[in-house]
Amino acid sequence: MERRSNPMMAGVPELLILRLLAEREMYGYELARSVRVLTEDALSLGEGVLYPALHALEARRLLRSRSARVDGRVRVYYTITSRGKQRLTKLTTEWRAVTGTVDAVLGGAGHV
Amino acid sequence: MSEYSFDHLRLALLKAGLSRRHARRAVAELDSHFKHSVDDSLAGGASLAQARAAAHTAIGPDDILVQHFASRPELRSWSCRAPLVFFCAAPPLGLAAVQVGLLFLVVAAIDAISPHLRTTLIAPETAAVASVAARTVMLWVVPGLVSGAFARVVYRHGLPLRWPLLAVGLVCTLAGLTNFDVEITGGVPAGLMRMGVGISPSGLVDALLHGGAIAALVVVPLLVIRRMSPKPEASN
Repeated sequence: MERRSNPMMAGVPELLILRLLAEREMYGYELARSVRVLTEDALSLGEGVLYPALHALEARRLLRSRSARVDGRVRVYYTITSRGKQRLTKLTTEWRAVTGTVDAVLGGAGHV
Repeated sequence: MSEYSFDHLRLALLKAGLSRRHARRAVAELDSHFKHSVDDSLAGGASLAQARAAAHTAIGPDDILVQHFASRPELRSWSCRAPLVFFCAAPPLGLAAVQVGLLFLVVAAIDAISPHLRTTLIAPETAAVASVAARTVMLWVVPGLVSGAFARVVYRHGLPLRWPLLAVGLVCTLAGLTNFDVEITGGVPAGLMRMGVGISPSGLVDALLHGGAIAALVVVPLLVIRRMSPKPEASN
């Protein structure tokens, strides 16, 4: 997902970002680390994907941001908006539909 | 902590058409990310050199980062997203906004000094100087600064030369057609300060010469700067 552009993973960063931010507000590095920890390093949101995605989601008003200086460093904290929550619900439903369908095909392939 | 400078990344993002707000914030976030990454590696036992190298590798080359940001149209500045609309609408509006703002200031000044005009003698020479100064500011300095601001936007984003020429042309044409006059008198029985502003197509040759002179003052330095700078990559 990072620098290997896998077409199957399109839309996954947005889904992961919205899902994690639905739990609590986070800043970029925290989000990247959370994805690595939660997926046990199976997925990682590279900086080249993460920050453009965060900015774009904010521009689409799915996220809100605030800047804070912590230990002399700028941290931009992101929070999901109500519009973002609606988008998350939609993406989650779509993702489950797709994975469910693919699972059904993969599971049933041997019986064809 | 980091020796790595993100300033060239900021410039590259601007050249790629990113808005100034997004470019500045992206750089601040990446800088912070870099430092966090170094800290984590140090905590994991890496040497400083290893930690920095790992952070550099994680962030990746600037051109890839720029590509990722530039591929998001919503992050681009309006001057890059819709240059024709931006450079046709914003320059006249910008000029009008600054001139109206100045007019409000002059009106406020008139209000403030009007009680004193009755008792103050203003020499005709002083009044003439004030009038020329006001005209110079309104019809030369303001259009020059507004044109310069738009030329700067174009330069920052590496846009084609036709856009500053359009913006400067519009501003300077309007400035050339604008009339502005301030008159101050004082003393007994009553001093006054009055002002007139309008657009008149009469004296078109003078207007064009006036506009052309302001345009030259802005465009010539822009051309020199563009020639002296490394060739920008046009993002549009």
